[in-house]
Amino acid sequence: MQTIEPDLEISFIAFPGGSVTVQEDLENKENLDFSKSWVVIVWNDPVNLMSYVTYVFQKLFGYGKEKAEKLMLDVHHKGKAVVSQGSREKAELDVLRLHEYGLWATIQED
Amino acid sequence: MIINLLRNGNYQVAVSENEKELVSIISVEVTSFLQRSSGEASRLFPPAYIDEPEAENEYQAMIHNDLVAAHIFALEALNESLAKPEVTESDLVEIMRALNILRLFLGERLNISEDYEDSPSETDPSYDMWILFQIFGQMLGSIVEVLDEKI
Repeated sequence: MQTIEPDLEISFIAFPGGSVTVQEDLENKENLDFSKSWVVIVWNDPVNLMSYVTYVFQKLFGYGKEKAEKLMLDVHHKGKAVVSQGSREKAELDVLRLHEYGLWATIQED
Repeated sequence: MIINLLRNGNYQVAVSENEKELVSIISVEVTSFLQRSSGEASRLFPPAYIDEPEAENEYQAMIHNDLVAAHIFALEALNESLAKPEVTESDLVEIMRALNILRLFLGERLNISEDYEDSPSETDPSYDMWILFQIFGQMLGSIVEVLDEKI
């Protein structure tokens, strides 16, 4: 797991009353890890039953049967499917859960 | 394997003595393999990052032991649950997960791939393993069918 290296330039501005505030350098915000989107991809593995893969998508992500089946068929016919996306931390958690269920899942930047 | 939903929401899982013995033998072997594994079975320990070796190393360093523990937990639950007169839904999910782990282990040994041809001949040394792979697949399919009705 990568740690977040803040790229923000933080300026401390002293006000006459002695209080301090923080000013962010918004131009650098796109460099932040949490501002990027990551996708979780499930790859085809002929060992896994199609019904099992569909069930896992429903259970882990709360998808309806139709959506879960469509994703499973994408995995089966196209070799892979994007099953979730979000922050890097969320994507890594999703991948761990999929690995616990024995599915071949990977993370990549969207 | 026959699974019945009971009135109390639990399940009765009927497994033959032969099936129970096969599950027990293979799960002991897989548990032993997992305890000494450092991640060489790619189906049981798939990579999370394909093109980022540094991120992959950090990820594996963080989660490998958790994944081993999760796999072993499922295998232990499998053998305990098959000895019970009835199991909860979460027990049944663990049985399902464990059977899939057994199939992944056998699939690795059989080198199952898209090009794998069905049913090796009876004289093939891998034939018995392939039969086990099929039996666990049927058991797994039965569980998914039952769980699918409640999801």
